[in-house]
Amino acid sequence: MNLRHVWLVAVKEIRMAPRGATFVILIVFPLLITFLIHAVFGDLFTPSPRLGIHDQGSSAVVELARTREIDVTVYETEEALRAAVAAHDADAGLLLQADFDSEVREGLRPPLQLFLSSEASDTDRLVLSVAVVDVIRELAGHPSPLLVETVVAGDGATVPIEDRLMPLVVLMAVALAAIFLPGSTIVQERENRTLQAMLVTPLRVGEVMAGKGVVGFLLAVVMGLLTLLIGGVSGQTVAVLVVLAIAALMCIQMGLMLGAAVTNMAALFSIWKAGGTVIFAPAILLLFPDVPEWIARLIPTFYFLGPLYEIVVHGASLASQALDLSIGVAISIALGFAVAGLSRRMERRLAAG
Amino acid sequence: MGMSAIEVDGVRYSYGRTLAVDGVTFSVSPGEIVGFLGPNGAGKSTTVKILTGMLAPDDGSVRMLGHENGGNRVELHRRIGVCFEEKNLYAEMTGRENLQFFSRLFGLRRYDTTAALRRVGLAERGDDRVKRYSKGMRQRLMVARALVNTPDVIFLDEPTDGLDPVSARAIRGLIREEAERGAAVFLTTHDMNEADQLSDRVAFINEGRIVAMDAPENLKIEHGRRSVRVRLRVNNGAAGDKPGGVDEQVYDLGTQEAGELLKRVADDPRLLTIHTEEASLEDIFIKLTGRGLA
Repeated sequence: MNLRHVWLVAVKEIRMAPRGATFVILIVFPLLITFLIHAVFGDLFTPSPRLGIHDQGSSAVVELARTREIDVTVYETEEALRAAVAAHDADAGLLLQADFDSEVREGLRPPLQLFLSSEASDTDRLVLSVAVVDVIRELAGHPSPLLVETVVAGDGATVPIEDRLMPLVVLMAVALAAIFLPGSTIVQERENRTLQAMLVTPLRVGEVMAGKGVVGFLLAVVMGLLTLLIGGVSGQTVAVLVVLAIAALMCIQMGLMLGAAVTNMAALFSIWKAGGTVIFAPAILLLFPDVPEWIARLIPTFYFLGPLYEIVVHGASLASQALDLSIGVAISIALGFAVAGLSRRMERRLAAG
Repeated sequence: MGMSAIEVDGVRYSYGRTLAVDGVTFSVSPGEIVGFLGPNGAGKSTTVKILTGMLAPDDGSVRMLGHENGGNRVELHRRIGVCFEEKNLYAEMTGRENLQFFSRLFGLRRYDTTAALRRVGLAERGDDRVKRYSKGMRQRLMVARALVNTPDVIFLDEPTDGLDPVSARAIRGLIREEAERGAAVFLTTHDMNEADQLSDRVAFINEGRIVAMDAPENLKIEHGRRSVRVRLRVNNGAAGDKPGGVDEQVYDLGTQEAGELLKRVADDPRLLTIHTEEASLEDIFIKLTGRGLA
């Protein structure tokens, strides 16, 4: 395989793609859906409320606050704190005077300013207000007079719906970029017979497929990352990138298979509609925790959606997901052989006219 | 035969049970233009696909530019140019981008797209997207694309299809230039007039077989009928004559009767015109195959 040829095809795809409506839809549609979910459910993957603190002395409040389930950031100046809250980099900001702790302990009820971001959700405001009061009670030596026991209602409903939607949203972005884009461009090239024109140059059919695959792969990873970032997911960057790469690899093989097997766009859309249900099934099943996981495991896309869900939502390590991801890679390799076979068949059919 | 750009010997090819090419044998020399003529389904496209290495023959051998039966396809394709009948250009690219992309596939880093566009009369529209081109402009770009790599063998399928007479003449001139440069040109067409004007030799293909292959003039001499058409004014004032009436007679050339007629009419005051006529390639094709080209 001539890598320069693969590169030339990839560059051609990158230059051509934005000129067609399909590409715009592939980019805009998943991001639009992500924004919509973001708007409906708040932060897609529900990060902890963020409290900014500027401490003019050396208050114990900072360390006590860090023991609560909130993100704490210390700012050097009051101006920096106010700016962070105004920009919604923090949901609330706490300004502590130099002698705050001693005055609290002496029962002097010192003034305390809590700045609230106008963009903070009511839930975050409430959580942060309660957390601050709780911390100060502890500082004053007046622990809470009662112990609240939290009980989750409903079996398996521990993961909020917005988190359970994450695999579906990410898969949509990855699948559109990695399956539909290469699949549709191959079919278009067959319909327009530009593929025939390429195949009487030094270019080989495998290089055409690889070039289209490279573009779909890169776009799928970028789209998956963008979707997660819009959803507020951060951290575990390497693990997320590895899973997205495996997802893109598997989806690319599916897209290339589709392009090589289908001869016209009408058939492509029909297969996309029917096959899409199967491909998306694991993501849909993850919405319903009561459904046994083995059903989702019957479908190849589970082997990147499952690990992604565990890593992003439950904070699992990459190593703990190694088995499922290895199965995902093995499936991708097997699909790669299928792509090679279908490509040869496509070339024969093109020659036969 | 050793100097031929294309040597085809007894090639057969079947699509399932349908025999598409049946023992075809011919050769094309560098600098020669060969017209491959036949109706739809005669085997023209299949022959081209075999020559370009897209199909492997079931039987027989093809030797093109030193490559036996396709051989190293990458190296073979580096030296051929193909102009398809379908206008398979990238419609969303400009004309210049189409040529640039294909020139890069051939590894040409310093390809002069402006000169190439100028050569086919598209210099002014080179930066327009192909989807805005007329049918004739697309055809000219197709020819330019086939010549991107200065090929040693050029396959042209209906190269002047959709062109106005002036553009068609320009493209024919360009094809002759390529042949003068030394390229072997393999022209497949329905257009007998085009084949007659361009080709050094023509091959008639019917039902997968070459039924005749020679220079157009030789085919006309061997298979055609040469004649002389004489037109005489018949309105000489006699009662019943129509005003402007003309009598027209056709005689085969080379016969004693024709010679005597020519002597007789030469001094006839009623003589309007004398034209010699020869059979067209289509007439010969019909004579040889019993069918037309449509």
